[in-house]
Amino acid sequence: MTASAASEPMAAPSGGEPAVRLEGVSRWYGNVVAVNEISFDLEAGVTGLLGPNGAGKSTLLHLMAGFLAPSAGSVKVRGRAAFGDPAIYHDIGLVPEREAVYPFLSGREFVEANARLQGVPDPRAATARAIEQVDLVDAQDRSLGTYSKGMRQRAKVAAALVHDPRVLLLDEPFNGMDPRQRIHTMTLLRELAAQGRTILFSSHILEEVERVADRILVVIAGRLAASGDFRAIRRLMTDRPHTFTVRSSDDRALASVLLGEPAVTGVTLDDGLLVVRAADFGAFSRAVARDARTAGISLFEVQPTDESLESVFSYLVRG
Amino acid sequence: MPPEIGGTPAPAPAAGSVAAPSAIYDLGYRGYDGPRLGRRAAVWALFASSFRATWGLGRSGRAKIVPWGALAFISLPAIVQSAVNATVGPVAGAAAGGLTFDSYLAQMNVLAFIFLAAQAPELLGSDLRNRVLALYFAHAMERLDYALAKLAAILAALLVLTVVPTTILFFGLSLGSADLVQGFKDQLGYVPEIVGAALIYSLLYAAVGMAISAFTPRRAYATGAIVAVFLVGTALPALVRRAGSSIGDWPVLLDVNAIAEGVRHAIFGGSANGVVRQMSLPDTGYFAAFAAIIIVGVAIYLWRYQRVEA
Repeated sequence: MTASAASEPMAAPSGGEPAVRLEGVSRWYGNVVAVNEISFDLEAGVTGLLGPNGAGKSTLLHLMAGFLAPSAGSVKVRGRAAFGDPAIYHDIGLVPEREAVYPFLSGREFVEANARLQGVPDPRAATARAIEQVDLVDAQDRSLGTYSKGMRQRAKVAAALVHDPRVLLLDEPFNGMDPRQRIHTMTLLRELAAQGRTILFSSHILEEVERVADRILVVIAGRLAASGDFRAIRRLMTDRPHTFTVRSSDDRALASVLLGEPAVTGVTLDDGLLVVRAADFGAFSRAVARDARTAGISLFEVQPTDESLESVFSYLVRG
Repeated sequence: MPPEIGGTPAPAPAAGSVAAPSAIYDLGYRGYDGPRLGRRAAVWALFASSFRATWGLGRSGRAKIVPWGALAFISLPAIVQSAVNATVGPVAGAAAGGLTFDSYLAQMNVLAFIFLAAQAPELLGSDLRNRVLALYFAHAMERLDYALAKLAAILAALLVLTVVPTTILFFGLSLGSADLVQGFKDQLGYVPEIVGAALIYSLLYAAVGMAISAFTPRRAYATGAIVAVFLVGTALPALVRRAGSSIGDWPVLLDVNAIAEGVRHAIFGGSANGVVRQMSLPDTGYFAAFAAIIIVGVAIYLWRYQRVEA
């Protein structure tokens, strides 16, 4: 697909199928169950794949990329079985974690080789577009062996994008990138998602996921532990009180008022900092403003302290 | 464990869709409250896995080199002799230069020794080194069970190693006979000696090897100590005899291989092999040394495992 076509919205897969669908997928290696009965659908947008080391993230990506056959269940990409159907590679771009590049090729040659392997009608134009997308124009004629790790990562991303796939699978794509490259690649992923592509990427850097992903998939010990928007997932953890720090014109008076709220389970004043624990995020958010106004107290700041993706991930992993 | 949504189990695909509302799923962790197989099954499982470990089964190719190499080399003479027997006729019998059941292990025991020196330390050392004994003792298994299962595993492995070559020889000699049925009947009388000699060597080797290996998590130290015990046991009697000591042939009872051969010769007869041929000790001397080494070796080993840090 040409550069101009790339900016057009992606067509929906035939038959209303999601871009990627996993149904009851398990994969085991001998006695080791790497993926255990996982089901989910992926549609347009950026999804972050999270999990501790050895949770099965790479196995999941390889299942979706058609490198592995599921031991049970089915993996479909745009309605077709991912394994044993080379035609799906027209729809998939994969950035593997390993350094799968030839050091003697230049960046341009590497990307162009991928374009030719994919049967792209105009490989040179597609290569130029992909290299521009990943901001590698200045270094495109240098051999890959002279590239930094971050540059090789970007070359791999360009190679994955060169045939303009609908589905992009990236395994730790930001590894080795400097902050500028990282921000550029994050922006690129957001733009690709805005064009209607389905993007799934795994990462250990929660801040990256928080900034790029619309939704997350959390995999723990081969099982799907949570999916969706991480803030919404946090709301679902009703057994864990939400913690807020509050700054106001009279913290002590506000603390005594808030203690009367059913949604509030605890209040502490520590070194002049008012910390409130609430069982219900929504009820507390409404109550704090109402109570402050009633008591004539000015609210300066209400800050949730365990609403970050890091907290959510930590709660899920520790159980 | 993450909370469930309304107590529902893991979702159907639609519910787990990333396009669907956010959700936390039940990972399915739960306690086991079904029947338990108990102590006997635990001991059997440890025996089976330890036996497999002695042969490197379920482990890397490197772990298979010593045990399977030892089995191949200890069996080689039996295979060659069987092949020769089948092609050019019977050559069995010491007079004809062939190996016999009464001399086989005496001549080939160095390979069983190599097997023991390599595998016994590994069998015990890795659990000591990785400090995982507490994991065993925290379950149905007791210290004695653990020690006995490991001892049984090395004993069984040594038995296989020492029985296989003479069994090959047994079939080689049987099948090499012009009259197969008669040939088989002729060899049948050697079955007790095949099993008995293997048992004598295996018991002695296992008792010595495990008693030494129980004292160190370092494989190299244990292997070195086993080698030292066997070498000193072999060299010392010769040195004592050469020095013209007045204690006669008794120092030969420091030699594990001589004791094994002495006991075998006392029970099954045939020609005495190796150093035993030159000795004039009573059979009871060999039996007493045999029993003492096994009892003391196993007792030290079990005592050690009652006290080893878990």
